[in-house]
Amino acid sequence: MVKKTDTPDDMIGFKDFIDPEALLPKARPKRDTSTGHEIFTFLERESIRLSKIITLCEEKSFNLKRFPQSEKINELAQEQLDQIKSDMIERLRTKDSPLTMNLKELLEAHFNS
Amino acid sequence: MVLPSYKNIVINSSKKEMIFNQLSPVKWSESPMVLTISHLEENQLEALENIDLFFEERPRKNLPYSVYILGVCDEYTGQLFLASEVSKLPKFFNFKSRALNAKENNMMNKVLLKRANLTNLRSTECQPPLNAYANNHKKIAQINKEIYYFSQIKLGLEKDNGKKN
Repeated sequence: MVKKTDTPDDMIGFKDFIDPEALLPKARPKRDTSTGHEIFTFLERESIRLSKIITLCEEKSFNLKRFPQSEKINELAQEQLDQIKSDMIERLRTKDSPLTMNLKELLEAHFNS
Repeated sequence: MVLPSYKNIVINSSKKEMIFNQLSPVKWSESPMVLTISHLEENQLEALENIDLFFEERPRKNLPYSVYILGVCDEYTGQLFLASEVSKLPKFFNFKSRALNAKENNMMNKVLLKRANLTNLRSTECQPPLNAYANNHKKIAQINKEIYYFSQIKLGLEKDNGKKN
């Protein structure tokens, strides 16, 4: 009676047909936790974003409340606007200004014809 | 831990009671929310008005995450951020969530701490000065626009005067 043995020598000739990976125990599927730095970068940026919002709400808001500057800037800008308007009116009121000349031409053309 | 990416809420009806019931249990400070109303078609304006009403009645801190509406409504003139497609929403929060590794977990803990800090801030204290500042600067911008306009005219007049002389 011939004994059946599984020694490697008996497998000669069959090795090409056997997929060696199929004999290995299957590895557990790993959790996808290391693909690139996309999430980490996002979290870093998110952390910076939140820090900026906290600074805005805590420090800057407090400073704006205690030391408001907007009203003063507003007044200065209004003064500058009034000044530039009055300068323009002064310039346009002169006899040789383009506005006076045009009006003069128009009125003459209308009433002298 | 849940990453702060977009969470979608499909609004079931444009009726006020239904919207209030649906939106009341939502935790707004955990992630940016997208309220989808595009399937409501001709009732989108009514839905938007009721969502506006919801946020008026229950003042929500607009921090740290905003609310976005997905729909198409040209007649709407309120303050909500309305977008017709997902691609038109800010890309910052648009990513797929997955399990975090140790390093990312540490960073996420920092984010959670800051988020809790923001949630504890009283918006009633920090909002009014910021709003006043914004309104004043809108006025200043308007005045500066006028100054620029008149200074251009003045410059033209001066050039004209120079030519004559």
